[in-house]
Amino acid sequence: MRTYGQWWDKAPSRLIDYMPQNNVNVVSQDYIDLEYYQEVYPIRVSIYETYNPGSVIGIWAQNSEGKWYQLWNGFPQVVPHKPRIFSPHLQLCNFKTKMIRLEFNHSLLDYYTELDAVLLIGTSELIVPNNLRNQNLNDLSKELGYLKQSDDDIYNLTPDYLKANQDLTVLKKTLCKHCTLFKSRVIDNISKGKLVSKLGQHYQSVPPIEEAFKSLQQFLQEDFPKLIRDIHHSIPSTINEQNNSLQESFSVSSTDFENQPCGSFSALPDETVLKILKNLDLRSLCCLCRVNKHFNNIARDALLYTSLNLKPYWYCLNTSALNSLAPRCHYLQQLDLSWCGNYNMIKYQDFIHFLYTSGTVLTHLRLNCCQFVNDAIILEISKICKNLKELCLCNCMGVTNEGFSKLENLRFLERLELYRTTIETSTLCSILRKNTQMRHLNLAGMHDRLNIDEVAVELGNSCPYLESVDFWKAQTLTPHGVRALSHCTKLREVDFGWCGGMGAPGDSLRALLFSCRYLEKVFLAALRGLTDRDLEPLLLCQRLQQLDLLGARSLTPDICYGILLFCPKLEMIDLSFCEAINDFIVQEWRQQYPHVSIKRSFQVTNSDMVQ
Amino acid sequence: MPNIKLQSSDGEVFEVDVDIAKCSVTIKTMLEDLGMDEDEEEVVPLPNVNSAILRKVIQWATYHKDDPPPPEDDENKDKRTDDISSWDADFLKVDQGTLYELILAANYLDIKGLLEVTCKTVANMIKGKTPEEVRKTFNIKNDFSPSEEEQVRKENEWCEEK
Repeated sequence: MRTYGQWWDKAPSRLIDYMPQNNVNVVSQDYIDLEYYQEVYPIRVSIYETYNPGSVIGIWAQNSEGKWYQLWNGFPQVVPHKPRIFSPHLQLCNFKTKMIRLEFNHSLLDYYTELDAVLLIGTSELIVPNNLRNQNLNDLSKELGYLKQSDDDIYNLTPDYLKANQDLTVLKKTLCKHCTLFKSRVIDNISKGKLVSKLGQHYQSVPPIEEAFKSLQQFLQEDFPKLIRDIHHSIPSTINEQNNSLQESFSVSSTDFENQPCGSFSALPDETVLKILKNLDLRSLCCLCRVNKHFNNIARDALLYTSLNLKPYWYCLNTSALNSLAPRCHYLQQLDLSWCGNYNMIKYQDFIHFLYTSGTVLTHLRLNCCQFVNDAIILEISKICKNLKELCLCNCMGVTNEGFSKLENLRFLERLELYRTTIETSTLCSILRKNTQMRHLNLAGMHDRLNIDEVAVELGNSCPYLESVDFWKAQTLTPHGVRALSHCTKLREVDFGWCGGMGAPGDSLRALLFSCRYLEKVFLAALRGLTDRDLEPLLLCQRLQQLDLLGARSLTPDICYGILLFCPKLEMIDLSFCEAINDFIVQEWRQQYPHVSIKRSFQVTNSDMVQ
Repeated sequence: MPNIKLQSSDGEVFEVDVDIAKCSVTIKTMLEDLGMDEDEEEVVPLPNVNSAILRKVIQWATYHKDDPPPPEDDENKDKRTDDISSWDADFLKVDQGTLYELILAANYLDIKGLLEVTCKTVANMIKGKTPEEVRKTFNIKNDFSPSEEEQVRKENEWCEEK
């Protein structure tokens, strides 16, 4: 993962969430979806966190209909810098899954995190402990004393790492004493998993008669009335309509008697009520709509929907949600739909429909990681959203170069994020030529056909206001492109990390750093050939805050000391694998400049040095 | 510091430090536009605010007199509602009627900080509640017909709890 700590939120290219009131306590900043070969009822997810653990904040499971269900959520943790097997307590999950999502928040991490593996353990049938409802096998194992957990970290299975998850093997042997196996067609399924075949031998004794009786009782008390209600809901519509008209005529007459339906709240003018509602998250607004007619009107006021962040609702935002929001969004200016609509929850036609009704005044549009975005959508965006200033399409794999070419119709783009997309050189250059106000361009992790040198030349010619550029891992960037960028004198942030093509920058980096005096963030990770001479102009960058020099083998302590001395705003410098700089001098600097976070990779942490 | 006299709708006169009174943009503009001389014994009438509320407003303004001026840009500011200071939270432990009157007064007197914190307080009374709980809290009658209610439920159910 590319981020850790607060650094990215402090960089000039940071994105600020629209409608931040939608965010829950812990914002997830990143996610991974993992698909397994076999479906199971999950009882444990073990995450092998190799480096810098602590950033997992959510585990989700997807059912066969594509709906997501949260198995666990928690706060980011500050834990020792040791590898661990993180296995948080999961909710009882009553469906089979083979798709797991992990969510991350990196804000408390000291350095990059890394995962080795994610183990999903489950059963092929739903097995529920007898004694307590809503308790899963993980709890049972703990209760029976099979599960040994670390004292300082209750979710950590590391102390016994060679035998991690062995408790479940033990549990398997005694399972029939403690558990009930649900589902009737057990015999058919025996072959699917060992756990079940074990159980199968004891099947006769598994569901005690009381249990069956209880579940029948439960059905009669809870589910049956519900079923009857559902049937009532689906009676033919003509009857319903008749009912409605009757009730409507009733309610008209009854309102005459009650002139104050809203109590003293109604004393507030609508304008003031809107001021109150502007503080509400989307879920609360939707709930308010259901209170009464007056609130249903006011909570759908288009003024409350000018800036909409739907990303926190990725797990439930589907087509019907989009359709019900559309009539409220006539003044929509900023929309973040990132992470939404995947696994067919939204079809591209639905979003196009939404754009037609609500997209005409959009200035900011974020569609990161949206699988449904395709060429047709980009075409409509280019026709409908003429005033677009910000467009984020990171990881939109469904758009071809042909689709991207439609963006040439836009004129006012100030931010374009194309991380890991398939745009080609000439298309991108043409877009840049027409959007001369460009301020932030993200081209990280692009394919190697994209000639970043040509892009850099175009930026130098057409985009004088450019403030940040992210070329991370662009193999086609050479000193030629770096030099061309020095025309963009307003640059505040550059990321050339892992750009293998500029291994020996010659005078190009000097030229760039010399002409861009406003630089705040300079990331030059894994540029092995960097020399002190290349970095000298940085001593004049009075605003420099973040500097990544990871893997610059031949840099000497002189230049680093100079930067610490002459860049008063410096907050972070990464000197991992800078082999010519020894750990003792880094230790000294840390004491001398306590306000600067000096990063060294895990091998050389403080504790190691003491030992 | 010179004082100024403010008269509530029910005739009570409050003597307040001019600088404190000026946290109300309405009063500030009045003083500047009308050229009201601070030395004169003139009384500023506030016909929309009663004495009980005006007393609360002055109490709030006095406590917050040294606050930095609120930022201008309205749109991109953080809409968090969990950042109410403990003093404000205590100050706003009042019955709903008083809270609404404070909102109206803050609106009329144009006191941005007070308006913001009172609106957030009411927003917090709504957050996380079910429609029925909201009705109970604000004493609101459900005036939907069953079919309307069903329709509105369908439109809005998508974002219910995970």
